[in-house]
Amino acid sequence: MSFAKIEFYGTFDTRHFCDWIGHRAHKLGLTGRIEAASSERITLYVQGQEELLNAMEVACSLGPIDADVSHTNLVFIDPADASDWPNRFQIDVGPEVLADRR
Amino acid sequence: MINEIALNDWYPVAMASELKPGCRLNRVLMEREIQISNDGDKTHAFEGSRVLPLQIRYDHVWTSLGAPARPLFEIPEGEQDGRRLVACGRVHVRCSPLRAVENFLDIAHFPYVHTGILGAEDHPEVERYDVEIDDEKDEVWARQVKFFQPQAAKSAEGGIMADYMYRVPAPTTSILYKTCPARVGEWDIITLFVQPVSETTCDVWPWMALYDDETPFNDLVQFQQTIFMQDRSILENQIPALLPLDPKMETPTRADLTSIAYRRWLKRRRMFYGAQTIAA
Amino acid sequence: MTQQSPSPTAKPSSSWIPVALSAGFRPGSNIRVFADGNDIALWSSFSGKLSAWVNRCPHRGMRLSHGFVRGEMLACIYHGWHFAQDANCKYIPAHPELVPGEMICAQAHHAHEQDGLLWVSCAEEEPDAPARLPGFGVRSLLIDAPRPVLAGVLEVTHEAQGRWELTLADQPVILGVQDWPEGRTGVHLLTKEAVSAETKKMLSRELEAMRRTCEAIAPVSASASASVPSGPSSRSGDAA
Ligand code: FES
Ligand SMILES: [Fe+2]
Repeated sequence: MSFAKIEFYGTFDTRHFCDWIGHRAHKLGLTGRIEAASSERITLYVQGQEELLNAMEVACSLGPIDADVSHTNLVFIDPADASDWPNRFQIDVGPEVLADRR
Repeated sequence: MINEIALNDWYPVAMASELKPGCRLNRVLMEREIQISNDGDKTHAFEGSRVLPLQIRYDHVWTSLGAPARPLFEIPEGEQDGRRLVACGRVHVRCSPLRAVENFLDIAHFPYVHTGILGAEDHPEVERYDVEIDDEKDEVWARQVKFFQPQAAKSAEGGIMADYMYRVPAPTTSILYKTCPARVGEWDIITLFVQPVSETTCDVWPWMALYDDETPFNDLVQFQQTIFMQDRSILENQIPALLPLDPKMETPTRADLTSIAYRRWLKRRRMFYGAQTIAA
Repeated sequence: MTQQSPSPTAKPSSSWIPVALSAGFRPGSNIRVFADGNDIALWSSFSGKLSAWVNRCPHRGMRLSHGFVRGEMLACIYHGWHFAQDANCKYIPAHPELVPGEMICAQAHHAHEQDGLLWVSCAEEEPDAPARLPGFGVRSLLIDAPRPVLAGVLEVTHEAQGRWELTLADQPVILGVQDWPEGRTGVHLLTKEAVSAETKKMLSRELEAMRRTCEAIAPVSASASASVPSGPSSRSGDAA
């Protein structure tokens, strides 16, 4: 089991992208948490087999049709620092993004 | 629908060697009928009575239905001294022009589609490689690509770990740089020029610039044709016919990084001719 | 093949569609069939287990009917992803270390073997088995004419669950009928009793004559025939 923090930068409808990410995580059998800071950055904390975390980064680098992802960044995290991670997928959307929602 | 982006690009429509004096070639480019003719000293391209831009480069004839927004890409290696230039002719494929390019960028299929030639089933692993979208040049690059090949090229014997680079200088062109068996430190280049006939059919014009003075011309062409016939059976059987730019039903992995970067680049530059823009 | 236990919740058995003859469909076979307009890969494992899957690889959309059978798994021809009986992906060759999760899978329909025919159902719940009507496979053919044209040409005495009963060259026969796209029809000919090789040959010629008659009535455009590359006549071959 590996743990990673994946960041996505670009221009997107954050709420839509978050749902899309949740769908992809489910498909790959990953659990974790999304922190959606703004319409220009999404941070994903995710756990699973290393190659599936890579697959997650690859899929999300394209994202939904209305997202323009300019770059991504994946860092693996020491399992010791991830002992309190949730075992299901959860989306934490920041107030800024909620305000964004039309 | 043909958007401006697709309209204003350059496309290959013939081999330069086809231009015999007095010839008149009928071609279809993005569902429109065009003619290429040669009056003895000059070549012209028309759509009906409308004159189209034309240039002859890399052994092929290039034209555009619109006003090309940028000059035709440069392939410096293709114009180096000492290389054999091999235009392989045309292969008609019932697939999206974008799918033809995507398949050309893919190494993971070598063990199964080009078994015993470009790959072997006991060496299917794809090692990590680098992909970059070069915003300044507006191109996609994949570098540090390595893959086991039982027979890397016509002039290679036995298995090797072959090195590759891939470059996408235009949405319908892909250039492969490949370890040159005859000259260490140099790259052979194999290029796929794609003529979009419609959103779901295309003509593919493979072109090579090699350091290889030994292999007979026909063998080189034959080798490339064999490879491409194998690819064609794949390309004509992928669902959906259009290349999905939001592939909800697909499952890309790290090995598909080039394909995904290519799709991302198409999406960003709004090249939608041959692409599917709804989730599929 | 499929275990049948009639359940009160099952949909009517008419939703089974005969898609091929069992004879000639050996372990390791994999063909493209259609049922209710769905493009399907029908394959049999080395031990003879039958599966019918949506004809689309979850990796990058290659038709799975072009794949190859390896033991109890079906491998996609494009990048060699292997799928087990439960439709789950078990092996991704580009990443040999990876153990794919259960969500990475092909989509299964229902498959069933009975009375000399292979059947597919795209119903959500597996329907009850078709009524018993034993038959001995002769030959499959793909005809460039839609079902009503065939019905008009043949004198069908009884029809149920995609099977027509009629007399062909004085022989009581069964015809499994399967709609293909572009107005084509797949037919699977069986005799009601075991017959000699000679009789089979004669029936096969009768079937071809019937095809010519139907196609003369309803010519299918050349472009339509070109878009369906393989049919039962070319892929599953003649039954022994
Ligand atoms: S499309 Fe089936 S394995 Fe890649
Ligand atoms: Fe290929």
